Amino acid sequence: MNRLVKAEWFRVRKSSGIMKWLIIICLLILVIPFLDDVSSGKITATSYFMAFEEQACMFIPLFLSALAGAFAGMSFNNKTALYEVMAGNKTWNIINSKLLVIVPLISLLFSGLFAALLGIFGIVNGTGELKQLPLRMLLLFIIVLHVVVVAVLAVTSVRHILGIGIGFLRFAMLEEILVIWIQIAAENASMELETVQKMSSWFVQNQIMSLNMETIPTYFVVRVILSLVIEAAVWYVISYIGYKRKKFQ
Amino acid sequence: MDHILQVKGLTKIYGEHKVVDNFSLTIEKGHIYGLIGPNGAGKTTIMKMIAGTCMPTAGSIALFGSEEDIDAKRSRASFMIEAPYLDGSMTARQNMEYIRYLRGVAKKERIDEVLEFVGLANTGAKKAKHFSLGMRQRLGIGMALLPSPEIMILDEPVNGLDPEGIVEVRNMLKKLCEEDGITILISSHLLSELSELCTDFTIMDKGKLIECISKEELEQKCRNYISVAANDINRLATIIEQELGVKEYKVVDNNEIRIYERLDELETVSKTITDCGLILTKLNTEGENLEEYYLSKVTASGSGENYKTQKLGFKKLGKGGK
Repeated sequence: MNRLVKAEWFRVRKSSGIMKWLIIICLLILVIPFLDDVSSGKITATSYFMAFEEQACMFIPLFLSALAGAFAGMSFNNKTALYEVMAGNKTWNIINSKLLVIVPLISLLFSGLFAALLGIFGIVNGTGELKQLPLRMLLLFIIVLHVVVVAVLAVTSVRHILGIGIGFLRFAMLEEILVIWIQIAAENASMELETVQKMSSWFVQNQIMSLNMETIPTYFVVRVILSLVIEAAVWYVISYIGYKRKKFQ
Repeated sequence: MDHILQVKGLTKIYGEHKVVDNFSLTIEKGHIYGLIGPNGAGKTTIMKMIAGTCMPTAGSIALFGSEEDIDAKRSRASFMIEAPYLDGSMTARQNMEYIRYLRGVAKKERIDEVLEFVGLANTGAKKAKHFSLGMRQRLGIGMALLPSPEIMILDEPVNGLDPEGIVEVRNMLKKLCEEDGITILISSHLLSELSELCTDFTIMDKGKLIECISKEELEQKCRNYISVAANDINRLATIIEQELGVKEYKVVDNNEIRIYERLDELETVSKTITDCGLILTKLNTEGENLEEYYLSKVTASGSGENYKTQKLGFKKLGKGGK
């Protein structure tokens, strides 16, 4: 596995200028809150955080999943991914090497830039009023992990760069449809708002928006972690079976 | 005998289409095997199954004497299948570096050795997407060679190469086999090249194995003959049988007769035929080559005619194309 990780890291660093797009897109997402009211008055760490969650909840899943999918998909596009199979590597090692390289790269870079910005605002203008900021940042990191892991595994499940589209469909369309369906069902069943929020808290976009809650409840933390684990496991199994069946384009 | 690769009863079915049908092959160490067949015969599919990028429907593959842990054994082999898989955004050296990391080649100098060997040492910062077809083929061969495999499986490695390049690759592969003991399985449409290079030939058609034959056996079977044609082929056959007493002859294409006896008696044959009143239109000594032997094996399925058409097309490209 060591060889696979080294080779994957080399490939990711060297190929196609995608690294520069990673930095550009991360910075673009972080700049989004400045396009709104956050730019009026002093920007504290928590005011930036809250504006970011409201404005960027859509962009994090879309852009980061597209980036992660592109990183993983390029080797399938030019078929160099087949060298990993022809070299005699075990299936789980091949999948794990992609996760071990691409997931930390994107999630740590993005979260690091975000934390640095918060740190700067916090030092210059103060932390602000929102409590549990470190917990919220940790949860955001886990949500970013969720997005990137699913995007990588979506591509490895179809072993084609078009797997990027799966990430888009999953985060942009499927979640929207499911959340709307829950809301309609909740209205029809006269459910309480809190119940609807709990049901929606399994979905990434709602999780990002919910980070602005006054207090982060325990069930929310559990669901953020569980939703990552469950979905990652499902996609991992699909990827593993696809690789084992040796269905390559 | 040292069997480095054994394939038994290999079958691949896509839907209702049987692409490979009960194919078996044994490859001995230190030989160069040519896999010959028309387009769609199943050559590439067989190579993919050996490489692990395609699941067989049935059959078994044994590498280095055992069917167990075949994935791990593939680390001792190298493959170039369909076309070289290159990252176009990387240079030749970077593509090789990727393979070096992947295959765990310790010595960085090995990259320089191999690039020199395949004639790509001076490509510098040129990205692989700007390479010519021949350069891509060379890089693919280099990437297969980098990990010093015990067996190389190459699918049409001379595809797109100019005549000088074809000769270079031929000499390269011969050297690898003779000096480094690397076993090679190669497929190609250029039968003339295979006949110069290979020690053994495997002929297949429509997914099935037709024949495995060594170079020595092929030379035995591809005998010399007197090729004779005249203005009346039926009378010619009668004269050959009755006047010359020839028992072993064959009528080819209804306009030529091949005589497999009396090869040193060309003058006698000529005089006998003309004395009987026929006009000779052709008389010379010839021998069957690999191409004719192969065509005689696949003609019954109609694939031989397709091959002739392809070959003519290839000749036209060679004369006037790039």
